[in-house]
Amino acid sequence: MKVMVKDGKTLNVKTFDVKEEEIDDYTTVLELLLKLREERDPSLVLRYSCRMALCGSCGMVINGKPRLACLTKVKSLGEKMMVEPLRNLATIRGLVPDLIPFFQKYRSVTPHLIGDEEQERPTRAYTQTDDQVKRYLQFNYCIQCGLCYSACPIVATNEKFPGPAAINVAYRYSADSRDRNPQRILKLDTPEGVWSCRVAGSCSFVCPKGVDPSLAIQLVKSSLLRGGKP
Amino acid sequence: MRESTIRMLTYGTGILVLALVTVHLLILSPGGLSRNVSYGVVVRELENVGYSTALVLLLFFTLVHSGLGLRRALIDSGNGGRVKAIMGVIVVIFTIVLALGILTVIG
Repeated sequence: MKVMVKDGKTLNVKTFDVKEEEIDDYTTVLELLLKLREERDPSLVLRYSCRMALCGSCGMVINGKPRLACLTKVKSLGEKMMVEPLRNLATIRGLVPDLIPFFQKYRSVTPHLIGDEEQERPTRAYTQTDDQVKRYLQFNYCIQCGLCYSACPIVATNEKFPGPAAINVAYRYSADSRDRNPQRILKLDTPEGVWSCRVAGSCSFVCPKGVDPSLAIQLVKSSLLRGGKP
Repeated sequence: MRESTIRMLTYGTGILVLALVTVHLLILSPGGLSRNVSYGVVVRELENVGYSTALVLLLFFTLVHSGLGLRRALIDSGNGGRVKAIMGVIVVIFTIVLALGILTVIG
């Protein structure tokens, strides 16, 4: 198998030949890259942490599609494997993307609950019905890996677009019955905001956690057309 | 104006254009195209106030819908900073087109 690793900073491509016996059915791209770094090229630079698709650190473009390296089996990729850093983001070094713009946009939508005075000093339990939880639950599984941001064609062409993850989290908290911040999604009601989305759906296609950010974006649009009420 | 309001205007004018085009085609369909575009028939149909008003409204809604579509295309193509200037020119051109349309109907 031929493994090619593209450095996002220098644009150099390193090629490694990997023998069949070096990988099994369960070897992940992350494991292979760590093995290559350990045994052949200590200059390989990558970011990772949990190795179990929970932290979202090891996002990279593998054979043209943004994926988590720890979740992608090498055997599923065929005879050639091309690894590149995430798109729509600058590269710090090697395969490590600079996630600062991604998290700046994420924070700009106030990604947390804003309660009222009663909730700040609760006198009773704040329960939610199953239906109230179902309205936001699937959007809550986002791990902020940035794959959707990397796959989004609108982010690629419009740097002011907040991106799928930020709009997804904005909807998640706005749809929560405990939230008291109507401004969160109203801030997205701008020419460069949620209306820039052309529903390509690539964000939902690449999400490793099965979240549907494209749906969240359409739900925000629907809320705005109804006056900002999720 | 909020972007969602502009989007509602785009959707609303789009639906109205579709409805008025349907009315227009239904009125044109009996008798065939060559008869319906003949001078006498056109003049007679324009004397019908209801139909003439529908035609002017069709032109108006088409211009609004296409203008808003053009604005969105300019923003999406990264020309957001020049939208106001370009849309100013477009509004002038569309106003002239609308005036010519009204003059054709009442003239």
